[in-house]
Amino acid sequence: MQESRINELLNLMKKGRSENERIMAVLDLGEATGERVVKALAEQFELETSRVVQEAIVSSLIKIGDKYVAESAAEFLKSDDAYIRNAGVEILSVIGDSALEVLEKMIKYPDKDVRQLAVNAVGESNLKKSPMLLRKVIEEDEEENVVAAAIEYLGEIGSSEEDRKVIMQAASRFSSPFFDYTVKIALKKLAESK
Amino acid sequence: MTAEEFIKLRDFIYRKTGIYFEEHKMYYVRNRVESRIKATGHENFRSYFTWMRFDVTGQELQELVNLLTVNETYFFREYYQLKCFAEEVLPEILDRKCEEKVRMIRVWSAGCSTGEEPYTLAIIMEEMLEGIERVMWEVHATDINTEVLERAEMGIYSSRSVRLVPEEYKKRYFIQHGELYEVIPELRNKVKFYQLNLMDAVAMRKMVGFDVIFCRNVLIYFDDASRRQVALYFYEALAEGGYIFLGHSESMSRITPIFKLRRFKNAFVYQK
Repeated sequence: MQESRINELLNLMKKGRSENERIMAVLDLGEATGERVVKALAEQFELETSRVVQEAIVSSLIKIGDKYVAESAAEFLKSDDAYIRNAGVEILSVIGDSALEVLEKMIKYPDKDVRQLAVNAVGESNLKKSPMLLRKVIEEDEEENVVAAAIEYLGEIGSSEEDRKVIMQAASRFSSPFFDYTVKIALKKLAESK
Repeated sequence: MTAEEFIKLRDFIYRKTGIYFEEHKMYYVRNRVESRIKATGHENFRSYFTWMRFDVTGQELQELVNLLTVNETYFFREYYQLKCFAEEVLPEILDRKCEEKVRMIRVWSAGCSTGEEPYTLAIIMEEMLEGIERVMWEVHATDINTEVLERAEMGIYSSRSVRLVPEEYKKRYFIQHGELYEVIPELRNKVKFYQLNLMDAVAMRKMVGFDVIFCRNVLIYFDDASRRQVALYFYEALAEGGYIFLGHSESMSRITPIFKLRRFKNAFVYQK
């Protein structure tokens, strides 16, 4: 897409005469590529007051689906707005390998709530490395809820003996009934998937 | 066709149409692909797939999509939704348009398959709007599958397809030829059939000003990202306050929050 067209669309996205015109501009930007477009979409997403335009932005970011999108989506995980955080999880979980590097980073993020969202994205994504990332969280994270989320997902998508072992070993890390139950269910699911 | 070949083909179809076949559909897809491999004289999947990908006319992809997207349906399917459309939604639309000189009501059957749904809608419009002054209506019916559209335009159905049509309507809107029922030309001419890919941005933008969209059991063939995209196109296609009917097991709220859920007496409907 030519630079002049991108500029025109970016302008329409922000200042279009109607909501429909702005939606169309955003959807067309989904055909473009490059850091500038992604950053502009992500910035607008956080400022935007129209839910429809926000949905169109999510759609376009998923369509572009490159590493810049992954980086922007990682920022969404830190938002105070639940809708924006959920959009971040969704984007990271569907753009495939472009999200891998960012996810590896975000599962170690200092804030536990952000780590939990990153685990959700890993668990929902269909990446080959997802089980490996979840195992890492189960072994290394200090927060019970984050580890429990990772165990729950590994129970769903895991299949190897290694997955089972990691969950078994994690069983003694926390002692709440909730955690015991999560471990039990995950092991049951793993056994059923064999 | 091996599992890897299935994934290659599945991803190709997804990129071109937005239709996504899960792994458990492999058997369904394989049978149909094998019949196309035979019909086109190819020896194996590889040569067929290469040929199809580089076919600039797109004809073979269309043939395959035709085979993969045939849906059996029948007249007056999900009666409670149609009752809602006839008795609750249509009166609201008429009220909203009461200031207009000519009240034009535009309905779109998106994913119309062999035509049972749009003809049902046309019968309802005819019945509900007959005798009301200053009202005109249109039913647009689209599908990605060109073969089903040809059948829809012919308007000839088995007794099984029309089994839920009230006897009175059968007499009024069909001509019976033994076991077959032909839609009367007056009704047939009121439904506009044309091919449309719901993921085609350019074509979708031409769809504007609709009061109601019926898109029942169609989005189940799309993945989450494509569903949202189609929902956004529908949003653009609807007039302010327009309605969307989805299949009884489908939920727009799971796709996107942009539509309001309306709880009518007979059914749930989404509204712009």
